[in-house]
Amino acid sequence: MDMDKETLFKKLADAVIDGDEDETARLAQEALDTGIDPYDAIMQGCNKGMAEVSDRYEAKEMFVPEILLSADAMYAAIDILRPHLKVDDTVAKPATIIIGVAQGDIHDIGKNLVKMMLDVAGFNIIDVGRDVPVETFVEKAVEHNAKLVAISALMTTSMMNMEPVIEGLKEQHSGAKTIVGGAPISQDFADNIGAAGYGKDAVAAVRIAKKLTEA
Amino acid sequence: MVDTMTQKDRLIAAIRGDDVDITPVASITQTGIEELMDATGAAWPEAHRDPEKMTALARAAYDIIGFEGLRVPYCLTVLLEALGCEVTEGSKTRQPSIKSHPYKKESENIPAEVPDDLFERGRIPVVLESIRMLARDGDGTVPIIAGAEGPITVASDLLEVTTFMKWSIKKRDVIERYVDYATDVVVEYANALFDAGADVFALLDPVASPDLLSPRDFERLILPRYQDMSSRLNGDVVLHICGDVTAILPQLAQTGFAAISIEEKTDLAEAKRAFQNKTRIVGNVSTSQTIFRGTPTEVLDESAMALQKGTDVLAPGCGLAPTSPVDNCKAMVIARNDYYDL
Repeated sequence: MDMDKETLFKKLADAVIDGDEDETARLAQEALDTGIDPYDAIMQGCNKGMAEVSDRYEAKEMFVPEILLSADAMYAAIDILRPHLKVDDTVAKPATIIIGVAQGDIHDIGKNLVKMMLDVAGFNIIDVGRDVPVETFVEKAVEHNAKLVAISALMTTSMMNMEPVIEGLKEQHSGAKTIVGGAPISQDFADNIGAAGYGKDAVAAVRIAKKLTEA
Repeated sequence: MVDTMTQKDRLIAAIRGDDVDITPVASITQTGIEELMDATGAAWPEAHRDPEKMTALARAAYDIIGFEGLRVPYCLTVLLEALGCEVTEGSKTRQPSIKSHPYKKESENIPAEVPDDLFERGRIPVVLESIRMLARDGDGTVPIIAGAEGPITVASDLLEVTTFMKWSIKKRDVIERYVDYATDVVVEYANALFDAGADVFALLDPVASPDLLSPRDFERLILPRYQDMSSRLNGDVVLHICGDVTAILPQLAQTGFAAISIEEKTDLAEAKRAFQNKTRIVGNVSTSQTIFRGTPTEVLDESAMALQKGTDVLAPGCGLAPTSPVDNCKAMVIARNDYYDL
């Protein structure tokens, strides 16, 4: 007898929290095989698990290594479920966010975490990578009509490359707001360079992204 | 007050917790800023590869700002380049950065031995030569501070940091061996820096930050290596870890290193209480905010606060952003002098 939906969602969420990608892949396949709506499996299984991971990360009960394994586990399931999603044109398209690491900085682990959590939160994410020139941020924001540009920097020596992006956007794509984050960044710094938001960690980044795109 | 100590004696005494006449003001993190480059003609990226320019830029932070130390080099890539990472050149206002990770593919085959020709590789001869020049041409009263990336940063960049993080759970034994190897390499390199004439070794290990690894990992994976290093290093060490290190203050008190350098994200008074003089404190004027974008007055205030809270060496909290104004750096020296009515 197959397990019921709720049990499967719970198991999927737990496997995401445990960072067990073999188990999440197996459960995703099982969901498909038993006719469970893949959208429900993603929302009530994967995303629920990842939300718990976010909470534990904020509470400093989980750290970057555990989150990376949870992310792998989540995507192992999503990769199996996503091709089977029913496309619904009546649903409003999610806001597009351009995300990347400031020029001169190759540290992208934080950016990747934020990207993953924004993805889970339902945004359309365009990842422009690391060590990204100012012009690329602006060009991509224009090209994709982005609502938000998220810039990360991990070094005091690279964070000064954030402000030119904000200025470039003002001139060329004033519809986009900017959020910044990364180890040396603070709310004061974000305010000073004219960023619309600051995320002290990946969870806060999602919160501010939601707030700014709803406004 | 009569100024009785040399700057070198004072810095060494300050980080060892011995009596000093006044608190030194120096940077154990990178000091290459654009105004100094313009004043001396010793600019990045050349100053990363040319020993004379590297030396001239270090002297400028002493001559022009008044920092009481000569600090080289200006990046965290020298050792990693020597171990096989490709490094970008950077520009006048951008540091070199790591471009590739030599063990990314053959992951589990960690080299067991430190390479015999390590000190001939990459830019290591440049740094050693620069230290020898600083030692030879000075009168011996100004401390020479040489920095390098620490074992967790080295291990994570050899492998690639995401893999390093995941394997810290999934393949712990492999990670333990990588960190052991990196520890050996850093010890040999640091001792070569001391031999060349460095008075203080600045051990910079950003990847060891609780922003990335848990306090439990710090306790089990990292602290034993630091303790091992402190027994094998032939000179005084200041450890710098970026970010908020409040969660690992009890462990940082036990490294055996002379002092710990902290950013403004960690409260200096709290660190002071946690350390109980088992190790000293270097810091912690904000490089990302105050020195970089603030006014000299703001730097004065924040420096006075750090002195009041009992910093043992008044210093920038992290590497100076390359476009930081010289006047803001000078304000740290003025603040220290004001504090002692000098």
